[in-house]
Amino acid sequence: MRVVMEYFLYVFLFITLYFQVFLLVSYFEKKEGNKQEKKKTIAYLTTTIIVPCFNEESTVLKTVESLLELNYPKDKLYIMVVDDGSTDDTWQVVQKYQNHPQVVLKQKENEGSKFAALNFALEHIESELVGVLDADSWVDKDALMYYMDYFADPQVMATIPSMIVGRPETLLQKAQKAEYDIGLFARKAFAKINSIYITPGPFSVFRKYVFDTLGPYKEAHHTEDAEIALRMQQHKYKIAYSEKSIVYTVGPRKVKPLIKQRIRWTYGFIMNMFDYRGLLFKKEYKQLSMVVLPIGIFRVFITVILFPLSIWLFLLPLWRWFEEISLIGFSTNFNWAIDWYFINITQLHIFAVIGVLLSLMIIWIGRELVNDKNKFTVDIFYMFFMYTFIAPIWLIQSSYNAIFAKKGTWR
Amino acid sequence: MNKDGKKYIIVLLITIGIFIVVFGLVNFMNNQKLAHVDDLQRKITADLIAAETQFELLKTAPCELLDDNVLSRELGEFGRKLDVAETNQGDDDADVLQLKKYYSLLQVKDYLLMEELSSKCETEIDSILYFYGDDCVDCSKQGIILTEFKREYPDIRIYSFDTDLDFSVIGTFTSLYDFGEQFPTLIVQDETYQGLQNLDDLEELFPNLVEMKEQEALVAEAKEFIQALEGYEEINIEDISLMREIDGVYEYAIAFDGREPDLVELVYDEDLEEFKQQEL
Repeated sequence: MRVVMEYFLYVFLFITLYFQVFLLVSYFEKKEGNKQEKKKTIAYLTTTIIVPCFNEESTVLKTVESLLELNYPKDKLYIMVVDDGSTDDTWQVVQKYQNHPQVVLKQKENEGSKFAALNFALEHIESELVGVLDADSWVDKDALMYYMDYFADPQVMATIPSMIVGRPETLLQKAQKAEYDIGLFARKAFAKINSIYITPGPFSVFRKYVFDTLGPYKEAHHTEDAEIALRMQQHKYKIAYSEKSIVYTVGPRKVKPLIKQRIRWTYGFIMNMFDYRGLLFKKEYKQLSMVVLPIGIFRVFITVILFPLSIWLFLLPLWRWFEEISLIGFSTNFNWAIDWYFINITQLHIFAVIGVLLSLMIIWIGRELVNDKNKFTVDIFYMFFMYTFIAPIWLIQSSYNAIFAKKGTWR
Repeated sequence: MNKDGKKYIIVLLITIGIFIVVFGLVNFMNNQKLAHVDDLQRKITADLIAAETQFELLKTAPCELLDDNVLSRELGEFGRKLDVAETNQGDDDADVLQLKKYYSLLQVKDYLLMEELSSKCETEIDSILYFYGDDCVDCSKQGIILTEFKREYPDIRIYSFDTDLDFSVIGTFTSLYDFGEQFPTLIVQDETYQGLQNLDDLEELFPNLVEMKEQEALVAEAKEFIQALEGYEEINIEDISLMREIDGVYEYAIAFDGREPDLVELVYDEDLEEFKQQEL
């Protein structure tokens, strides 16, 4: 039994390590076809940023202000605030911008899903670029300007920013900060191999052409930002990553909302992958199809198996110890003299060390990308804790939900 | 081959490389450990042959020359380290099996030497013969209990034999005692005990060991008592020694540099569990 379990464990470890090495190799790869000289003059495209809000009276002003302070020609930037039927004073608060030349205010009835609010806004937009900024996020003032370097390539259909957790306060938020910094590395590596499969809610900017040709947002299991990216990949639309464009977002303060948020993300990812299973293992979609998406799915289910497995491996010695105590009582004459012979180092210990070192390296790279001077901070430790004890909960729950929901549609 | 395919293979090779290094490293460390056990085995073998030779030479000599130091003290360490090697390498590893046979052989030799010594000199050396099998539920528990028993009473000599080890010496040895295939089996002073024996059972089998330990504890307590007495606060514990015991009165001597030792007589009150000083 134990041997079979360890065998499984090593197969999982192998695949996980393969993916990490794959990302590292991708990261350091030279991207081809991007050697064109930088244009001296930036072509500013007309842009509309949608700010969908539902009961965001306390944060919406900060979000809109950050957009108005963007380094961008005033006649080319519009902000469309969509009040998605808020029940608080959001609508009254945003009346401040009633006569602002750059701000458009819209109000609609709530339909229970963000994608409807976005589509409602899209109907009123004529600019070349369209972006979204959730009302719990705010942008760095050069973010949009840097995007223009990427949109200068006519093939780039969307650009995503560097997401950073802004002003983390609770331990959980600090853990998420480290987690997002790891995400920056992954984003860069994915961008190198044209494999970005999510255009996150905060400040992803699209050419209006995307919606004109591919249609509006879809409900997509409450993860419309994942669905649109997969749809673009399906049609081989290019998605770029502008690491110097920084957007700040807030993570959930407490465990419960965090788990809820992550269940929505993971469940949405699994379901969208099921809907877009045609993207898997097709040579024409290259590395996205052969490695990134399959291992992405695999990693969700790996944790579902790995978690009980590691608990079991952890409980076994604990059980032995307990058995010993119950047989001979708590031994007081413990021998403190350590004989190196009895210190047992197994493959698992070494892999654990490799894993930690890789994570530290990846965080270092991620923070280097956004010029964060504090490379090794205590929040990394919180992140390991979060991933050991909290992440399995949402991964298991969302896998369960996904399998359960699938059964319903198969019947 | 296209560019992507090349990359998949390069990444695969790197990953395999890391795995080979990790597994190789652990394998190397385990082999080092096994080599260490091997060295230990050689040392014990040499000790044992030396002891046997010494014994042969002194056969006609009086027993005082033969203290129990001739018996090897390192067999226990060998056994413990072999145990770890067995868990790491798996119990079907050829090197481990070979060492285990050596271990059994050394134990039998040590046992025979001990028997001879005790019959010649009519001293009693406490020993347990412990036989176990592979598919025996209580054997791991018995192992833990025996380890603890040895830790509490270091003077006991425990010899353990894996009856599933394909080794003729063990077969011959077990046939001497003729017990059924039921494990764990303990043999103490030619009596066979089958089934799990816990710490209390073992202590009952060796009342003299328990008594000796209690005596030692009592002496240690008495010395502490003396240290707490007026005028003796500065005395080292090594300078206090038990002289004799007559009818529950313990006489202790306290050594001083350059003058006669002091004598203190103590009485132990068993009800109150404390000492009292008796006026001289």
